[in-house]
Amino acid sequence: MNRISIHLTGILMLLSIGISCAQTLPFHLPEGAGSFRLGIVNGTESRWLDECRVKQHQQNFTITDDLWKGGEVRLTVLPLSDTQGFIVEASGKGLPDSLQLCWAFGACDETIQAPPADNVIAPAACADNVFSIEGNAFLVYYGKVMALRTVIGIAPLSSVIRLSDAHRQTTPLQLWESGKKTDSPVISSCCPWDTDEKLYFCFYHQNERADYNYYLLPNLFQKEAK
Amino acid sequence: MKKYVLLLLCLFAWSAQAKIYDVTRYGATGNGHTIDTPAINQAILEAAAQGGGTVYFPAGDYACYSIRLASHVHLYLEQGATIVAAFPTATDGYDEAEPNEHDRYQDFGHSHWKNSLIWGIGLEDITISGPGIIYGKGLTREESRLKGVGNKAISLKCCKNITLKDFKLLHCGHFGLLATGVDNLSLQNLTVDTNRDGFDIDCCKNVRISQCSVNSPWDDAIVLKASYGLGEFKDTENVTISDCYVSGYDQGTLYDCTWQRDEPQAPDHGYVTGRIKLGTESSGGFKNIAITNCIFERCRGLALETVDGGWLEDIVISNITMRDIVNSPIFLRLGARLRSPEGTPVGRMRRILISHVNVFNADSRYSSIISGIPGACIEDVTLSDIHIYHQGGYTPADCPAVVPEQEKVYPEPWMFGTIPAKGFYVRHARNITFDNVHFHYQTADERPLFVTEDAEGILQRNISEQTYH
Repeated sequence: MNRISIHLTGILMLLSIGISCAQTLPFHLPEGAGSFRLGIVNGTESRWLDECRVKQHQQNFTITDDLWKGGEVRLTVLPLSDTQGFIVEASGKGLPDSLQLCWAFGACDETIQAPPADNVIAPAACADNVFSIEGNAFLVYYGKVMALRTVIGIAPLSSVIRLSDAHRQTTPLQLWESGKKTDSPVISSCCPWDTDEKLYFCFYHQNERADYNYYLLPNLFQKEAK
Repeated sequence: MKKYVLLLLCLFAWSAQAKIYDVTRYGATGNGHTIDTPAINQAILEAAAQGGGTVYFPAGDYACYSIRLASHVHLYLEQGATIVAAFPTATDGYDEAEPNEHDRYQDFGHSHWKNSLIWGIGLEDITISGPGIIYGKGLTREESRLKGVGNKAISLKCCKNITLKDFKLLHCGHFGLLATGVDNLSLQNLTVDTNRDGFDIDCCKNVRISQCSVNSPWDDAIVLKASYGLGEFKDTENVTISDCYVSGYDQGTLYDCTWQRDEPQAPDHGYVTGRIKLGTESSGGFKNIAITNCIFERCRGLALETVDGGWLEDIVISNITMRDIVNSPIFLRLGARLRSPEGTPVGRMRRILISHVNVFNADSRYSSIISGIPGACIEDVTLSDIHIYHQGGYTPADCPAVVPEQEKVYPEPWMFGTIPAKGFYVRHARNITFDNVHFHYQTADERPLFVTEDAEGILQRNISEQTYH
């Protein structure tokens, strides 16, 4: 079994774990290539999805919370077949109109081999992560001089991305407003969410077969879902 | 008689007016979201068809993909006018990167020109000027090869008689300006604040760069190159860089004047870049280069590199002041990476004068380096009237027992590890003169001032070291 297959298997194993530990959403890339965190903002309140009620069925996650009053946030998380990485489809049912998605990514540290036990973006793994932000996409440079690694993220088009402080992520809004004066940089973003629309996130290592833009993600998701 | 004179003046004025091609008259909206490129390119085509003229951008935000330049055309950006690089979509984007059979000898960005916001190939007599802005918002600095992706703000290949002046370049992708094989190029009073290289002057002849400010924390600010992108060995020669400022402040904070220092690291993890450099692409050579009256701040030091077979010679650098330098204040490297056609011999580096340089608060790990390789020495270098204020703090125990040669490695000071000298490390060099050179250390540094290996003709006059607080 080659290296990629091992990692895909690892992701699928995480995905198949049942409700008992479903609050650990499978948002960690293999080989310490980074962690994703997704939250919801309603007015001045915000909550990370991994701190809400999460039901899992295979690769599908249904998330409920008092913050969005009886509605559901639905996520489907699929590993990518052409590279190490995953794609997330987010949709909603019965959600208030005013919700925003707030998300974060960081903690790229190749010395971390085992995925963290929780969804917190570990500040200790964030040092010297350099984020090249280009609209709704970004690339992280991590590793060491002369042995650099990179990982790419693509988020919904309405994402406004900015540097933030991983030490301050008690809530999504706290992270969003934390500023960039930190020794543990991550990126965070808030974006309006028309809950009739499906949104996509994708995190991956680029190669000749895996070179994406947001407009490619719906078809990529369909391909990986087959 | 007066009537006739007045009539003639009116006719002259009308005639002059007719040479202005306002892009809004061709349908450009300047509303920031409609793609205005078709209208702008039509205005350029019409101006060129009439023998040339000025294509005028009144105040507004012009969302664009590739703007195709034409000979004898002047783009004028009015105060308040911004050309904004749009993000590519599923159906629209920048011109496709043209084929280049020589693209294996330099990076993708250096090897193609059409995949840019503004580009011209084989043109002459072009000016881009005015107080407006070129904002590369939708350009990439990264390595996507998707169709429609653009990675340079301005790209010129095999052009002549080019003037760029007065405007600002922001967030420009791989390059603010890539000029390859351009003769008679003048860059005046440009302000650049970008996410990778500022100006890359590649295989160009007779270049004036003056009164420019370039903030590029994530790559080089003003860099001369001599790549094999044109499919031939071609020098960059007869270049002056004068009265310029280069820096590595957080991106965008030179332009907004907040001068932020919260982001210390560059993508290559060697700390902020933002320097003046010759190299790395150096299949051709560098000849007759003068750099004077320049300021470096919060960035890497001066780097002269030839590693791909080119000859770097007849270089004069004077009146330089640097503060907060994150690696070697002075780095001279003749190497053998040889990213050139097979059989290309190692180049040469010689006849270099560096004088009247003051460096304050320089990192001490890599000190300053003059290093050729076995069998290929750096020759005839004079360093005079120089003060370097180092942070200090190292000991011989911090250094490797043997400094690796790293002949084929991409040249950066870190490739040698901690340097065994606290002043200059000189190896594989001949006829190097240090005259009136003074070193100052904030913290005691126990390494020797000079370490030389395979070095002959090293002359030292009036050298001193002391501590400072």
